[in-house]
Amino acid sequence: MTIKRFILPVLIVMLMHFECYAYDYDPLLLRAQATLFPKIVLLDQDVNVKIKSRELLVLVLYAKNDLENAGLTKELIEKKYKHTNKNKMIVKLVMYDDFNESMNATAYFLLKGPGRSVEQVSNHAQGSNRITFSYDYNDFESNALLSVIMKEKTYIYLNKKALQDYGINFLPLFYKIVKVIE
Amino acid sequence: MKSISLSIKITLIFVFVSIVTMSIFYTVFTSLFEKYTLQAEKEKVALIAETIEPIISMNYYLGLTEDAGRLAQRISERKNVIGGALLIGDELLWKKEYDESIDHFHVDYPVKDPLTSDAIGHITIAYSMDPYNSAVNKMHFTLVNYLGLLSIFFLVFALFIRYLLNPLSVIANRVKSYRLGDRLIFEDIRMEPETEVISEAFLLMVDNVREYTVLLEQYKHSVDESSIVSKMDPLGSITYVNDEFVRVCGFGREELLGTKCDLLSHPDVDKAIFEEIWKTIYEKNIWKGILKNKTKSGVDYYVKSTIVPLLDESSELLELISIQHDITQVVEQSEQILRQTTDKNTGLPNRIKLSEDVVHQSNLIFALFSLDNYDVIKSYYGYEAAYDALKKLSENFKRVLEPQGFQIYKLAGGEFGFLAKQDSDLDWFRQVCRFAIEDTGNFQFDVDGDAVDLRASIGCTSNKAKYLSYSGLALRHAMDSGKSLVYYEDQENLIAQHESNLLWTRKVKSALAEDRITLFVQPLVERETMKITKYECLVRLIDEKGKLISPFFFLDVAKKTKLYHLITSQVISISFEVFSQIKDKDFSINLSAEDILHKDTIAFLEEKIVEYNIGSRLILEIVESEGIDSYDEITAFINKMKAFGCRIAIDDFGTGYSNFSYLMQLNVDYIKIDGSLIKNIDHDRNSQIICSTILNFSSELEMQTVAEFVHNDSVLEYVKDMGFDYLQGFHLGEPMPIYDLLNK
Repeated sequence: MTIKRFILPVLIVMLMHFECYAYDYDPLLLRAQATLFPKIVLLDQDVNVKIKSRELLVLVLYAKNDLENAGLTKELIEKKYKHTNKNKMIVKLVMYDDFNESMNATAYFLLKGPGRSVEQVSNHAQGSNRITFSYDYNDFESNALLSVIMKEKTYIYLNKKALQDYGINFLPLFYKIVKVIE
Repeated sequence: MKSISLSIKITLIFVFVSIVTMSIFYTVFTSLFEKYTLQAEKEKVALIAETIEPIISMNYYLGLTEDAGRLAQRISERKNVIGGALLIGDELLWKKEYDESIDHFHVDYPVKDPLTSDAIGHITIAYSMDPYNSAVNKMHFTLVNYLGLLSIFFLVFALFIRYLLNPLSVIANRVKSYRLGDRLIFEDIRMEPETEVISEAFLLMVDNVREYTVLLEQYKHSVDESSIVSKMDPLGSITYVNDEFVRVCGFGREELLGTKCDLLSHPDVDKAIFEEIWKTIYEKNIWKGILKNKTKSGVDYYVKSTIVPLLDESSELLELISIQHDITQVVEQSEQILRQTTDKNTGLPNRIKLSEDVVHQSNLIFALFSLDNYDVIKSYYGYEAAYDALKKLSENFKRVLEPQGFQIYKLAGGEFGFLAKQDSDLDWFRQVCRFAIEDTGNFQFDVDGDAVDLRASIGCTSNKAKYLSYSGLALRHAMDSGKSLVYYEDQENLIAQHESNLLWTRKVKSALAEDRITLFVQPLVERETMKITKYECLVRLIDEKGKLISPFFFLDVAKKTKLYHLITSQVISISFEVFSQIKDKDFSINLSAEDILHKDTIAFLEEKIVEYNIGSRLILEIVESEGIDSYDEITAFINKMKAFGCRIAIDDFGTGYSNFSYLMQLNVDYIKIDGSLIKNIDHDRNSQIICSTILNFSSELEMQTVAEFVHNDSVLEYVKDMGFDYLQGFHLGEPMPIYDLLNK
């Protein structure tokens, strides 16, 4: 009884905590990811097919209370993209809860979110052969395709399991620098 | 160089060729090796750069510049990379300093944007030359070792060649020491197939040399025996003379050797000839010619000389050899022949030379020129004047005709021969001949102040075989017809006549040979008794078919040949034989002027008269119409015949130009009036007057008359009435074979 009396309130507190507070992000990592993401999108050899009206649409999926980080991400992406391509890049912020199957984009940047939501977006992107870039490489469990981590140096992770299903045709050289995760 | 053996030469040549080949090979090989090795090193470095560049560029693209720098850093960790740099844009992502003194080379490789492939920077890699130098050194080491081995191989090769060629030097030494007459042996020498061939060739050569030496000795002997041989040094001093030379010139051998070759030269010989000889010799040519020499005793002799310059290997004059033949006799004979073939008076070649020259003509055109009045000049002005005329005429011909290519010959009497040069045009020849006649007509010839006209005729022919006969016939025709020039081939009748003459000549000849000359007799009837008292013998020729041929056809032809006198002899023989058996009849035979003037015929007649003792019954009929030039000779003949008891008749009286005074001189017994006067005497008044005159004249001279051609009763009655002593003609008796008389 005592255990129940203690464990339950802790679980509730923990649950409430998750519900009420934003995810933690490493600013340096986020910056690096925002910098790399648009360039990786352009390494898709079929990217032009996925652009409509010369607009490269990127959806940044974020969890509730993560708008600030999402905005930062958008800002960073837009800033880095400026000098990288002739097409205009439109970055839109979409909360995981608001995401639906009609929200098609050129690529998806997945901030931290519930695994189910991440998987939903990833599956949608996979179905339309779009790149998904996840902040957390653990999202590979949720079928995310790419991620970047920083250790002694910067590593680009590629989800080998998902790659075939995604049908993305990257420049061959890209495969030489990525770290493929089984 | 000559002293170096063949084996060493072959080896040296082989070494030389090999060194040259190896040098070229070495140079080319090392050059290519160095070039391509360096190129390979550079490509190797470039490959390193090429391998890493995409990753660097991708990293740089993704902004992973540190990774790019790290990757570049890894290049420098490679062996032999001594430094380098990675510069992208203005960013020097990596640089490694190095010592410039180290032997190295640079490779710059561009870094390209992975998306656009635009060059965005470059990687520079400084690479050590150590691997390259090491490879080159190894290559050099290997080649030097190879050449060292090759040198050893050359040495072995040289020794082997020397071993192989050793038999050749042995053969060479034996051949070198070979003397004519020795026996050359190679059997003990080690033989390879090639050496065997060489030794066989040497043996064969020695055999040939021996054979040729024997032959040469024989040639020398033959030449020495048959020719006058001498040798001289290039300055003309005699160095050798053979026995024949000594014999012919009369000098001793010691006198000749060492003296100049002009010792024997005759002073008559032009110095220009000797200059020509020496010029020919010094030009290294053979001189051939005839030289006139004199012997020691001063006797002239001629030699046909061939002087041959003998040259050494470098074509320098070594000595002269002179081979001569004594042709003194030939030269003298030639001069004699020249004298024989030249007319002394005119200096022109004569008929002998003409017949020689004609042989060499393929298309002959010949003219026989005759000075028509030569005999007149000769008899009127004398021989000297005639010869002088011919000499001057010949000089004129030489001046006028020789430039036209005519060869002029002096023939018999006043005749010249003109021979046209080969392939001359006939019309042109005749034109020139006419000019010669005209020129002769215009020729002024003076004898003792008298201007003598010269007249000439020419007979021409193109017949080589019978050029003299035909031109003679043509000339005679020209003279007879009053033409100045006659071309034989233009005169068809002349040709036919000539052919007919030839035919009848052949027929007469064969008839004589086959005893087909026979006699017919025609009776002469005495007018008073009308009995046959005499017969005239008439010659006949029986042809091959047995047909009788009248003398009309063959007698004139026979007169132009020696056959005529044979016919006369035949007539004498047959008639004498037959009439020696018929004692009661006289007989007559016909004799022409040719017979009377032919000594052999007359001698034969006299011999037969004596043999048959038949002179008192023989009447000799001399044909009046043939003309008698010399009555002296006829008179002498008649007197001689009368001494044998013969009687003389003038046949065919009335047709010739003899007159009664000549008849008186001839002391003839019968006059036979020509048939042309008797034929129409019964009604022709002229014949009657002439015959009457002849009868009166004969009566005065006590000559008996014979009327020929009594061919009918009317003529018979008329001539009987006129008083002819004897009558003859077909009406009284046709000619019959003489042998029929024997059967009566």
